Amino acid sequence: MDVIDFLFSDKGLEILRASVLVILGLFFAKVAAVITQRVSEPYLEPQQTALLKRVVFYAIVIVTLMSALHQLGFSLTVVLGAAGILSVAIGFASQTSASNLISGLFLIGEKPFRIGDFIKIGDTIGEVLSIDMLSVKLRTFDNLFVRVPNEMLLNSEVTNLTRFAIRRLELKVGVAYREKLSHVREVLMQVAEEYPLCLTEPKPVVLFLGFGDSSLDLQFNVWATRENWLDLRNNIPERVKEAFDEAGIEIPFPHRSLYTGSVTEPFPIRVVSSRDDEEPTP
Amino acid sequence: MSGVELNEVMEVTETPSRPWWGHYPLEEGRHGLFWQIGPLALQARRWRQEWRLAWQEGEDPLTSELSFSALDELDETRCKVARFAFQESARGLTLCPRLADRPVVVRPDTPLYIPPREETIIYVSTSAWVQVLSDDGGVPLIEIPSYRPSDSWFGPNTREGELCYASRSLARLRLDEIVQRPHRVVSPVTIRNRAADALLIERLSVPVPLLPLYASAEHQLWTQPMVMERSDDGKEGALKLEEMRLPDGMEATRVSEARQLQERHGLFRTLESLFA
Repeated sequence: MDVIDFLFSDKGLEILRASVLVILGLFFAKVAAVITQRVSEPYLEPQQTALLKRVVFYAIVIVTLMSALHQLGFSLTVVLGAAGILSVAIGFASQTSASNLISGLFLIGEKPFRIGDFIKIGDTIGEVLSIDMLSVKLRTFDNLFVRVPNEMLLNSEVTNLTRFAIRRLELKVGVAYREKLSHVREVLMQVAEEYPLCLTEPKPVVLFLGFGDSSLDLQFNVWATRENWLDLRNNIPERVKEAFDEAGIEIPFPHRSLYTGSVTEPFPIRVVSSRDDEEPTP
Repeated sequence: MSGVELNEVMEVTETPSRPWWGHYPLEEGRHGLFWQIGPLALQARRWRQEWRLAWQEGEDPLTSELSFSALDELDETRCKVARFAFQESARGLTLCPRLADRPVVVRPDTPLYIPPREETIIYVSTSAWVQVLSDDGGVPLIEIPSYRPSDSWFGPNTREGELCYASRSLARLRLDEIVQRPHRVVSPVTIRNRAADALLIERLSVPVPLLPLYASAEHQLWTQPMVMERSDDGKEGALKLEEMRLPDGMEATRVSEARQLQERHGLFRTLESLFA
C-alpha cells in the first residue's frame, strides 16, 4: 500500500517521469546511433563512423540525463558546477589519456595510414588492426600484438610501407676488380628484363657505389609492385647469381693483400708434400 | 568452323584452315588435347569428373609456332597445373582469344618525332590471352597469357599511376614490317600532330582492356584503330576509337568482348595520361 501511495504522490510521479524519460532517452540514443552509423558508413572511414556514432549516443544520453535530473528538481547550475570541478580534477589526473585522445582525433583526421596498412614506428613493423581513441593496435610479422599510444604516433616518425603501389628494391652487389663494368651492367639489365615481376618502368638502374676494399661495389635498383616486392627480394639475388655464374663474373670474397715491408721481399715458403708423407708436417 | 585436324603444324606464312581458337571436341578413344600457340604449350586431359590443364610458357615471345594434336597422357614437367571438377565433364574444350587485362605500354626503341602538321600510324603488338572454356564455350575455366609480359608502371611519378604491361613491340610504322604472329594482337594507333612544333613520343599506353577483339580472314588478331589528335594550340586530345577496319579493307569478325566498359562518350583518356 505504501509503495503504491508513494508512486502516485507528486514525488513518485516525478521519479516515474524521470525514469521513463531516461529509458526512452537511452532507447532513442541507441536508435539514433545505429541510424548515424548506417548513414555515414559509405562516406567515412570505419573509425570515423565509430567515433560519430559514440558522439551522437553520448550527446543524447547526456541531454536525457540532464532533463531527467531537471524533472527530479535538481538545479542544473549545481550539477554543472560540480561537473566543472570534477572535470578539472580529472583533467589533471588524465593528462596523458587526454593527450592520447586528442592525438587520436588528429590521426583520424589526418589519415597517415589506414586499417590494413603496414607501418613502422621505431623498431616495430606491423599491420594496423585498429585505430582506437587512445592507441593503435598492430600485428607484427611474427604475429605478436602491439599497442602503440596515439601520442607516440603523433610525435615521432611513422613510415607507411604500403601507401604507394610500387616499391624499390636496392640490391648491393660487389664484383671483382678485373670485371668490365659495362659487361656487368648488361648482365644485370638482362636479369631485370627477363623477370616479369620486375617493372620495366621505372627503369632498373645500376649505381656505382665505390671502389671497395675487395670489390667494385654496385647497387642494383629495381622496382616491383608492393604485393610482388617480397618475391622480387627473394628471386632477384638468385637470378643475379646465376647470371653472373653463366657470364663468368666473379663476386669476390673479402681480399687482403699482405706486404712484408716497404721493400717487398718474397715470403719464405716451404713446400711440404702432402698425402704421401707419413710423418706429420713440422 | 572446319573439323578438327590432328597434328597440324603451321607456319605463319600460309593461312591455316582454322584459327587456333574455337571448339575442339575430343576424338573417340582419345583422352586429351595439346596446343602450341606461339610460346605457350597447353595440354588438357579429360576424366569423367575432371579436366586437368597443364601449361608451360616458352622463352621466346616471338615464335610463330602453331600446332594442335590429340594426346592421351599429360607431361607435367615444369608446367603449371590446374584441375577443374565437374559432375560430368564435357567431351571437348573451346579456346577463345582475349586481350590483356591491363593497359599495355609501348616504348619506341629510339625516340620518335611527329613533325608539325604530320600524322603517322603506329602499329602496337600485344600478347593475346588464351581463355579456356568447357565444351562449346559454356563455362569459362581459366585464362592463360600466351606470353606473360613484363609488369610496368605508367604514370607521372611513382606515387600516381597504374600498373600495366610493357610491350616489347618496337612501335612499327610500316605495315609491311609487321610480322603477324598467331598469338599477337595488332592495334593501329594514328597520331595526328596539328600543332606548329614536333611531337616527341616516348611512350604510348594502349587501353587494351577497353577494346573488343577482332580477327581477319587470315586468322590474325586485330583491334579497332585508335586516333589521337594534338590540336593547333598544342593541347593533346583524348584517344578516340574508330570503326573497325583492317588495313587491306578485308572483313573482320569479332571474336571476343572488351573486359571493361568504355567510359562515357567513348573517350578514354587524355594524352597526358596516355603519354605520361
